[in-house]
Amino acid sequence: MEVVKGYFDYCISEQCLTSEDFTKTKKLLIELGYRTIAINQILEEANLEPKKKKKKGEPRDVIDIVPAPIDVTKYETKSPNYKKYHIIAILPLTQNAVQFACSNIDADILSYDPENKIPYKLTRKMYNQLIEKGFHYEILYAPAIQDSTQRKNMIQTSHIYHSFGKSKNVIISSGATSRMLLRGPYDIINLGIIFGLSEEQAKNSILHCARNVYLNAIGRSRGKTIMFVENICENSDESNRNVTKEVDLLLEEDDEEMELEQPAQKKTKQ
Amino acid sequence: MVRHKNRYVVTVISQIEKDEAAALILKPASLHAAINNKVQQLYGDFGVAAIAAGFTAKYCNEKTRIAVIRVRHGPHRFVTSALPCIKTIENKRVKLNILYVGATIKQCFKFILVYQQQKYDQFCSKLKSDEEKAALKESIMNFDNLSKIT
Repeated sequence: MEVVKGYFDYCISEQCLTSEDFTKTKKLLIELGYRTIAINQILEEANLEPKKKKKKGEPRDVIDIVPAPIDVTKYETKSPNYKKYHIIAILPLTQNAVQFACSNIDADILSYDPENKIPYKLTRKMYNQLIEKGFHYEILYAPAIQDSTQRKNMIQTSHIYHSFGKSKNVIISSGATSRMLLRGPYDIINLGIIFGLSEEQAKNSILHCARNVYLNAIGRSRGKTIMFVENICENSDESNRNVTKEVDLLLEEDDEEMELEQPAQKKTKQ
Repeated sequence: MVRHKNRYVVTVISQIEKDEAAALILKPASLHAAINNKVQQLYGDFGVAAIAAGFTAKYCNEKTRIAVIRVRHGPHRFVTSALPCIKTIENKRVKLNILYVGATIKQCFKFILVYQQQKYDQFCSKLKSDEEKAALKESIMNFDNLSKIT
């Protein structure tokens, strides 16, 4: 399991990767403070041929499926590429699709396309069902910066999330198609207020919830998972020092400097 | 079960430069559009997006010029604050007066009933024949539009 840490941005569009200089984008993201990103690849219902996973050294790839319900099941089982994606997001376009997602699809993110009004009727029950399954709701901020109608749709949808589920399990990601639309994590926390999130929720949406997405995704790819046990090769010196530090803190809390200077001694004392 | 709270705003649309009793004929969609435009002007995209869910505006009665607006609790403040600023609907110079803000359609209905009765009595004073009065009552007490709003 890779170690993931914040901040997260789960929707960098594929265009960023191909049309522009990706290293520049990457640099900018790191500068802004992002540590985990996902590249978004959209798979439409129309072309069911799975795309190859791109290998560019980024932590993980994402795919959006627009499912006709039956097609997806066929797809999940048959396509070997499906498993290569770290995170799967779904973008339902009909009422049927969202209901199917509630009951059958195993994915991580429920996305929303701000080009159109929300095409299905969400209910409180469905919202909670999806949360129980470990879904997260995605809010994209880049389209909201870019365009007036998309902004209205996005705000409306996020307010719907607010009124149905108190904005539980909401993640904010960029959905940026160009470098110009990326914003720093702290700006996003401030931006959260127009999406009906409190400051704490907004912060969680790019840290805590986003981490949960990753954990869920790992769990999904390995079947039903509760715990993850891993063998770590570790430097023995390093671990000794850690132990000493802990012990030391228990014994005498004011003696931090000494502990750093003479870790070995402390160990023997114990 | 938590429910959605709504607010129902009863307003009277009076046309400037016209007589009190004159009827004002409006298209069904135009009030909705006028409010949306004004909110856009005052609160921008955020305001429009915030009120969009569950927002309806119905013009109910041409004789007494009553309109009922339904909007979610919370963003209803955007609407109620935008209403006094509306100056034109369909290029007619108008003035909006909020009469009542209620939480249920039933309370609104009670209020409107009393209000219409009052108006009816006012109008009646100018009329003589009973047939005319009956026709007036028919047109004033017609709430078909209102029942659609719920």
